[in-house]
Amino acid sequence: MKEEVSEIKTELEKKLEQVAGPDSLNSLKVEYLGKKGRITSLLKALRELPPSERPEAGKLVNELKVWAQRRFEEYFEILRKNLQKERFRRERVDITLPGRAPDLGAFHPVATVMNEIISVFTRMGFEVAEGPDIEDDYHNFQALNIPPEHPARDMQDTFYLDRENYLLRTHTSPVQIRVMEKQKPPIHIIAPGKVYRRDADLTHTPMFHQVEGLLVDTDVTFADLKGTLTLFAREIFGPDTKVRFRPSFFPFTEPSVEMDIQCVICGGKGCRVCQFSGWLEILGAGMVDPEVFKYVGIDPEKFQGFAFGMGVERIAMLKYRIDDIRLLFENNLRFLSQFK
Amino acid sequence: MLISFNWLGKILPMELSAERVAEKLTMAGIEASVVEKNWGRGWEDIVVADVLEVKDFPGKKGKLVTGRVNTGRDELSIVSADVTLKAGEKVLAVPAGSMFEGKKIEKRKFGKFFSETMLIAGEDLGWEEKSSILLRFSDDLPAGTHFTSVIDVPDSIIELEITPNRGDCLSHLGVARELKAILGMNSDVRLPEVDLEEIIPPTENVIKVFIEDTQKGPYYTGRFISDVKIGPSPLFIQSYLARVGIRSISNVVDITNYVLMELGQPLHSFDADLVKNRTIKVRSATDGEKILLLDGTERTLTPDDLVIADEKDPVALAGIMGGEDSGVNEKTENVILESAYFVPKFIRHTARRLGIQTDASYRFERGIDPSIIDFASDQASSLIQKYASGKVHSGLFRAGRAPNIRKSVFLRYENLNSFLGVDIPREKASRIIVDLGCEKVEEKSEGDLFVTPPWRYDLEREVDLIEEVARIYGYNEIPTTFPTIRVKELSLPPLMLQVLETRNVLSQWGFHEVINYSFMSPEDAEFLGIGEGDRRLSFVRIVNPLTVEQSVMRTTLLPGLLENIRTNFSMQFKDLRLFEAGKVYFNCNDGYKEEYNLALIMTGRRFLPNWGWKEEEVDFYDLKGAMEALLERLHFKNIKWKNLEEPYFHPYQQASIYYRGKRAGEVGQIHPGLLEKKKIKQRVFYGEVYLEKLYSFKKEEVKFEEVSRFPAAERDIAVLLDEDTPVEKLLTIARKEAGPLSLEIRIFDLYRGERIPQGKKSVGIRFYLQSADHTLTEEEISEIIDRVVIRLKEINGKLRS
Repeated sequence: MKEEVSEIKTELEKKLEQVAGPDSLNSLKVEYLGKKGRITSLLKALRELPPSERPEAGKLVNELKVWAQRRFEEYFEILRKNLQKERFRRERVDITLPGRAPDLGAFHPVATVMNEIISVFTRMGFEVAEGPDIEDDYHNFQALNIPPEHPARDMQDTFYLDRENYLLRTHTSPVQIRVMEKQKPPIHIIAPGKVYRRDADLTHTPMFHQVEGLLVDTDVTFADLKGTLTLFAREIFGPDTKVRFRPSFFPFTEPSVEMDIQCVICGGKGCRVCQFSGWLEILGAGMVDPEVFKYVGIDPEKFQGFAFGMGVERIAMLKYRIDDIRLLFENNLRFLSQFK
Repeated sequence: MLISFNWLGKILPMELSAERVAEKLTMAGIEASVVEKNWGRGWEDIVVADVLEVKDFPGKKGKLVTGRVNTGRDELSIVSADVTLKAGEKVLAVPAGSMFEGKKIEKRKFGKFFSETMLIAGEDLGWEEKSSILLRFSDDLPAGTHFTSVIDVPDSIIELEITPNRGDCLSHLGVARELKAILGMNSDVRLPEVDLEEIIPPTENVIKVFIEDTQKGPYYTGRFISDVKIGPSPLFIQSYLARVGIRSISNVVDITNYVLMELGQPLHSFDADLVKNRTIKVRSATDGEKILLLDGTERTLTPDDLVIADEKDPVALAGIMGGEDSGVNEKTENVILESAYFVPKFIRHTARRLGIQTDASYRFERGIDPSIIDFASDQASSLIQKYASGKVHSGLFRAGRAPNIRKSVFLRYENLNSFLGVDIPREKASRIIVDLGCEKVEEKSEGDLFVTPPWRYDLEREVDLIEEVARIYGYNEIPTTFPTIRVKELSLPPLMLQVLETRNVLSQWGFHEVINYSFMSPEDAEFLGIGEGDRRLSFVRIVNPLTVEQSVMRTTLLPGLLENIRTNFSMQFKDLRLFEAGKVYFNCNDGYKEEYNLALIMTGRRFLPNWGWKEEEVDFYDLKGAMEALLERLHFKNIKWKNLEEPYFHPYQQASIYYRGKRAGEVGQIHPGLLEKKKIKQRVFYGEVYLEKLYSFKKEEVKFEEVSRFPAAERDIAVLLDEDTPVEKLLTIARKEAGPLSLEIRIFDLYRGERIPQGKKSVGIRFYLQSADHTLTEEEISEIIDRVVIRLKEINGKLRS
């Protein structure tokens, strides 16, 4: 019996190694562990042994059975794994083949930059206000301290409309007036929107976008104006952006200022874009002129504030290095799709 | 405005370079840049030459002359196109072998004649445009004198951008004054020396001046100068004018221009013999009165315009331009020199109405320095005396009085510092203001009282002085701080911000955002066939449009997007999805209205070529789907689609969008007939929603519903419907019968074809059913489906076996 057990063991081990697939493994299992299998027969044969030999022989055969069952399990597992491996191999993908997804659209660069500007100021605590594109002379000019016959009207060529005293706003500054007419300080708003000037050439389009800002409170200073706008410039053009402030003139601010950033093209060395000055004008600003406060019924002895305005196209062009403003409104797909 | 660095230096001697001066001015508010360095370089070899002999060039009479000149060293032969050249005149020459602007002048042969020297015309120096007339001058210089030794070169030319409030800087004197304050210099500006030898009879006895309209022209001075000899100016005057871009005309006119550029006072010279009775009247024009101006145009005037008239007729448009019939000309012998004050707003009104801008009007509009009017007349008179041999009659005829521009302004130093957020010492601030020409007249503990200078119209209030201190102190010296923003309450973000949300959805759907001009043409509406009574014909009209195509404000976004399709097509981009969010504008009975719309347009392939997808053209349902997704994303639920009849859409592929009973938009296939006219041979789908209408309703908030923990079941049925039966009818029945157990009902299949009868369509509908409190049984599910099937006959439908 002992010899027989060890013989079967050696024999089965050999046969298992030669098994090709799940089918032959199954029949091998039947051959040994089936109802008429060799190990099963051995178990049956135990009954014919003398009782004294039975316990020892029974233990041997049972061990053989447990062992065989385990070996079959193990071989089944190996086969399963091999099969899975093969299937996985067949399912291999080409990682360089493009994925399947609808093509993305793009935001217009002017809208994107406008959103960025809005985001910077709203994070500082400014709220967004809006005014009409169609304005009256009072809000666009007079209340901003630009009376009729004022030379400053030359700075902005105006589109006039069929109803008297109406025009397309030449800047977003009238929103300042509209907000201050309705609201008492503290006021902290920005007003993005379209503006119009009767001008069309390499650097001008009859319509463009501006963002206006206004902060009015009891103790807003010129130094605060500088701080706010410096922070803005660094948010938009990067943390190392150098800025400078130059005196300028706007009828509705006093003192008035223009902010330059160091040329983003040449880094201040001087190039065609900055006209070899090393600086680029980015926005106009200033402390709200007391005349403007008088128009809207705010006491300039109690309140002071600053206002600023910037051209969105200009900033977008500098950011993306676009050299012809008209490209922005041609809406050519090859242009638009670059801003995905 | 151009200024000469050397000229500036004559008034304010200084050590700085032109570049530093430009930078200093820029940082103080006058944008300046050096546009020409070394002006006059390359002219070193130009010498004065005496013309000895001039003859007609044989066969070229009236076109060329030949002759000889003496250059001090040699006698050289010449050939010139200036046929006015005469023996005895002096000209400028560059002998062959010498250099002119970096080029060597060669001896040239013209037929039998040689040109051994180049003769200089104004054009050669850039002083004139296209003229072969040789430069003449009044200087009595010996032949061989070097040109550059008499014209103050090399020089630098600085271009300035003067803001409208700083009319005082529109002269060399003005810029010098400003620079003196910027640099904090102790020396004062130097006014030119005036050396007058006046004769009798005094001016007052020779001419008469009356001011009839003191409101527009409060002060007028006239001066009589007799026996002038009109001719060329001396080289120094011509060269200074050339530096600032003014052409030389004749000595008297050049001198008035020279004084204008030096002092900022516009002057005008009349031929005294063309002014009737030598009487000047400063008066308003009569209605319809006409004047022929120096530029050759005849203008019709109104009583708003101020004229300088003689006894009878206008001889000049005050402060703007002289008259053609009274100006100084070659034959003039006696001159009336005008130096006056005109009120800015009236000059501006007339100049603007007539569309004329001159050096004079530009300055009068911004306000001239009343304290320099008489002096400017004296300076010009002394120059005319010296360079046009005029005899200056003593005194000025002064009429009226110059206005007082000076203002008293009190400056509180504490206010200055708290306004700027800075700590500037009182002495420093006070010094800056005095440097700018203000006079300190009273000192108090909290501040000082200043009287502003007569050339600074822009200084009236305390804040104006604060600006001056900040400007000269230096904006970049002021600290940088951050304000405290006190938030009281948050207001609702405007519609514009909500509109921006749409961009995210649409870009994911492959739409590119475009921005078109807010204009359109009335013809666009006509092209689309928009019918009478449609509000899209209520145009806001632009009175002064740039082009007809941009003559009204858009009432729909369609023309812009259609044009985008057309231009992209012309560049062979034919798979397009574009969107625009922007305003449309209407002219309503009660005023102008502007509203936000959003429009989508699509054409071409559904997906760009990809190995994984079938190439198919987009159709109506792609556009509708995008619109549905968008509206869902914006939380506008229960959108209704209704029939529409717009002429610009395909008659059977269009629908209007309704939200809560209001029309809120439209979708459709653009009528192929219209596209053909634009040479677009591809189907184009368009949708526009009226965001203002949609957002006029309160936003629908998302409300959470309990999620059932019991399994959901799916059931499909296929239904045969008549081709014309809207699927909505089937869905209504399905929704009704599934009732609260309906999780979702979807159309998963649509079939038309051979396998079903003609005139029918097969609609596959899938039910997702779920109960909140138990697992649905097979019987419950079947019951629902059966109820739907039974009701199919209401819509002439049949279960497809």
